[in-house]
Amino acid sequence: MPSFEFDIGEQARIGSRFIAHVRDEIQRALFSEKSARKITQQQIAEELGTSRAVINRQIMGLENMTLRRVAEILWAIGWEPHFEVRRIPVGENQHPAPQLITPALSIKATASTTNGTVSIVQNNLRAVAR
Amino acid sequence: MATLDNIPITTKITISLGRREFEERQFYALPAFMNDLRNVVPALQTGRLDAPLSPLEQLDDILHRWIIGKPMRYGRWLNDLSPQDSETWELKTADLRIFGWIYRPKIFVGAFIGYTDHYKRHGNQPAVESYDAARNRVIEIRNRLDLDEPKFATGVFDALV
Repeated sequence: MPSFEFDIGEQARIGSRFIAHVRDEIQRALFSEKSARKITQQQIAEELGTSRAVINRQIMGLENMTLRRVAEILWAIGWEPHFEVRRIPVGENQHPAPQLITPALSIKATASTTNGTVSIVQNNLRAVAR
Repeated sequence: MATLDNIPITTKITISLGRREFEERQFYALPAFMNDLRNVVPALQTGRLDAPLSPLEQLDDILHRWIIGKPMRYGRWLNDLSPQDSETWELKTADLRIFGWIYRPKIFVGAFIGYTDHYKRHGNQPAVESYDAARNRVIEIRNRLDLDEPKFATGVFDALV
């Protein structure tokens, strides 16, 4: 049986799945609160000074939400967002971040054989051995 | 013995999974679904709801949700997956309707993809296709399929999903 890998591209996938993840988390929080106590979208809307229709569209993922609105909806039901970022592990990104470039050390050494002195200069620090 | 994974016209759909994500459910596609996936959905624009995700991204999202085993409904107020009459099922996004059925628990068969706006009335304009017609198309496709019985699973939502 054939299989088909459905791939919309990494950039689109990362962006859209993040938006979907935020929506999912809000829905999970709201469902948890609804299970624990009576809370309605109308109450959330009144708390935030907007209409139930707007809140419904935002919770359902039918309308783009600002970061502020994400936090406000969660606040209205007694939750808060938790957000952190991390570097993608090596090998898990189609477009790896460029390696950090460490400036090469500048080493300059001079040696004198006429008077038995060795002088080494490294990054403007001088060491002299006799 | 003709089962879903050994008849030639089905295609198993896979998607890119993130870290700590695993295939908890399976999705098989029939030819009409594959045609819609390849040729129709990429050209679709967001519909009247003006959703933040494009239809193609919505398709990735709903397949992702299904395959990694995320909840498909929360109580009565949110249903991304709805059972319809005659054991047909519908996966929903803002702009897409994926019509099909549940072959065995946690195995969805996608028959074809519809555009949500085509199932809604626009003022005096009737819907392009009714939900009943879509459901009947699913039944017709399923009946024609050379598949051993039972061709679909029956049971309550939580046991099948």
